[in-house]
Amino acid sequence: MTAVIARDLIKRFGTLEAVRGVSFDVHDGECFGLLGPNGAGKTTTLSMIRCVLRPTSGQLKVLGMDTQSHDRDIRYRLGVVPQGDTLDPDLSVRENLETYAGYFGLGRKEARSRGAELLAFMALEEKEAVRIDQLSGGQRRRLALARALISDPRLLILDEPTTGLDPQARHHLWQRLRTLRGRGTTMILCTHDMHEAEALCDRLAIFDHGRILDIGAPAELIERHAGAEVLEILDAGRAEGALAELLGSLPADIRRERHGELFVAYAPRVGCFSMPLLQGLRDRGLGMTVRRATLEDVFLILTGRELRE
Amino acid sequence: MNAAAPSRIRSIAAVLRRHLRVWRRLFVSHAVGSLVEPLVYLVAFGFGLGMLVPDVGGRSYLSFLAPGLIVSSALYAATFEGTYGTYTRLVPQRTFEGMLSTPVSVAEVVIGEALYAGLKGTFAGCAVLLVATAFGLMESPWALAVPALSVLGALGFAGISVLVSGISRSYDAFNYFFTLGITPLFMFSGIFFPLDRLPEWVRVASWFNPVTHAVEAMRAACYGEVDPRIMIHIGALLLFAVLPLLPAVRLIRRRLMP
Repeated sequence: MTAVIARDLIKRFGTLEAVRGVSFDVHDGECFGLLGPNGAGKTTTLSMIRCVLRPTSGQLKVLGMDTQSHDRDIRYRLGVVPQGDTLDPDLSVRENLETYAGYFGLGRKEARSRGAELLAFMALEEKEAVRIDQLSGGQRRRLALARALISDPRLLILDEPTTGLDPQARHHLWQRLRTLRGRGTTMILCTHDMHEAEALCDRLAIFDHGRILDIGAPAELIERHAGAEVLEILDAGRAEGALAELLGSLPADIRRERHGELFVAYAPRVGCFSMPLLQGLRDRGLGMTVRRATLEDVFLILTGRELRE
Repeated sequence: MNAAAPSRIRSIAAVLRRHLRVWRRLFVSHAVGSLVEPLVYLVAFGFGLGMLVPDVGGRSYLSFLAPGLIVSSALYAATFEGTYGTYTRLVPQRTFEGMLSTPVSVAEVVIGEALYAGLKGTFAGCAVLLVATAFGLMESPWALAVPALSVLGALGFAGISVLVSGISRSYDAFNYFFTLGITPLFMFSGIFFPLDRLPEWVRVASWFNPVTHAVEAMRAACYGEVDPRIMIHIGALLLFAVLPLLPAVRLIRRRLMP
C-alpha cells in the first residue's frame, strides 16, 4: 500500500497561498524527504498529512484513508516529532511518555513497558524522573522521538528533528532514525539540512514557493540537476581575463554561474575539469576547489541563491 | 495496539488524567490555600463585619455568608484555572498541539479542560464546606448536596473561562474578563449581601446571573430549606455549564487549526 497519496493539494490562508498544487506519493517503508527553504510550504503540507490543517482543495489520502473523513483514525496511526517541541513541561520524562500513551488508548501496563523500552532505545533511562526543563536540547529531541514512537506508528512524521542540535546529538538521532528505517518504518522528514536529507532519505521532493520542483532519489536529483563534479572559484574577480580564456576551453555542456565574486561550473561527467586547466588557473593565482556535486548544489540550482526571510 | 482509535470518552478521560497527574504534584499547596482562605474570610468578615451587621433573614451574618463563600471559592477557582491555566497550555506551553498529534481532537481537549477546571472549583468549594462545618454553620444534612451544586456552578464558569482563553491574545485580556465580567457577577449575586433591597431592575437582571442561581441553590441546601424552586436554579446552572462549550470548541479549533 502507498502510505501517502497527494494530488493537486492546495492550502490557502486568506489570500496567502502556502501550498499551490502539489502531488506526490510516499511509498511504504521508505523515508521521504520534504526539502526546501523556509516558507516553501513544507510544514503546511506536513500539517495537512497530520490532519491538523484541512486542504483548501485537492486529494489527500494517508494510509489509505481520506484525511477529511478519517482524521482520528489517521492520527491514531501516526507518530509526530513536531518542529520545536510540544513536550509537556508540567510532567517528568517518564510521565510524558505514559501520558502520551494514554492519548492513544494504551493501558497503564503497556504504557509503562513501552515507555521503559523507548527510554532505553533513546538513551534516556537516567533521566526518567527529571522534569523537561532540565533536559538538554538533544535530550528533548530524543524524548520527542521516543514519544512519537510510543504508539508503534505506521507512519512517522519528523519536522526538522535536528535543527539546533550539536553534531554529536545530530548524529545520534540520525543513527536512531536509520535503525528505524532499517526496521521498515515509513517516514516523512521535513528539513532544510542537506546533510540530513542525504543521510536519511530514500527519495525527496524539493519545495519552493508552495510548489514541488522535482522529486527523486538524492543521487538521481544530483545527477539530473548538478551533474557529477563542481568547480568553485571564490574570488573570480581577481583574474577575469584568465578565467574567461581558460573556461572557453571547457566543453559546451558545462553549466556556468556567476554570483558576484563566486564562479561555479557544474560538469555532467567526472574528468571535465582537466589537470592542465586547473593548473593554469592556479598559476594565475585563482583559488579554486573541485568537488563531487551534492544535494546542496541541486537545492541552490533549483531554488536560487536569493535570501529568504 | 488496537485496530480502532480510542473512543472520544476515553480521549477525554486521558486528557483529564494528564491534568490530574499535574494536580497531584501541586495538591498540598492547593489544599492548604483552599482551607486557609475561607478561614480568613469567615473570621474577618463574619466577626469583623458581622459585628456591624444585624441578622440577615433571621440568621447571623456568618451563617448568611458561609454558603456564598462556598460558591465564590468554587466558581473563582474554576475561573482561574480556565483562564490562566488553560491559556498557559494553549499558547506558551503548546500542550494542546501535542495532544492533537494523537487521536485526541479539539472537542476532547476543551471538555477535558472544562472538567479539570470544574473539579478544581468543586474541590475549593468542598474545602469551604469543611471549614464552615467546623464553624457549626451547616444546619441540615442537605449540606451533603453542596459538592454536587459546586460541580454545577464550577463547570459553567470553567466553560466560559475556557471560551475566554480561546479568544484572548495575551494574559492581559483576562484583566477585562475579571474586572468587567467576573467581579460584577459575583458582587450582584447575593454572596455578600441580600439582593432584596436593591432596585427592581437589579433584581431582575440578577436572574440572568448564573452566580445568583448557584448562591440561591447553595443557601437552600446549607439551610435545609429545599423546595421545588431549587430545580429552576439547577436547570439554569446546567444550561450555563453546557452553553459555552460549543463556541469554546469552535474558537480553539480555529486557533489551533486555521
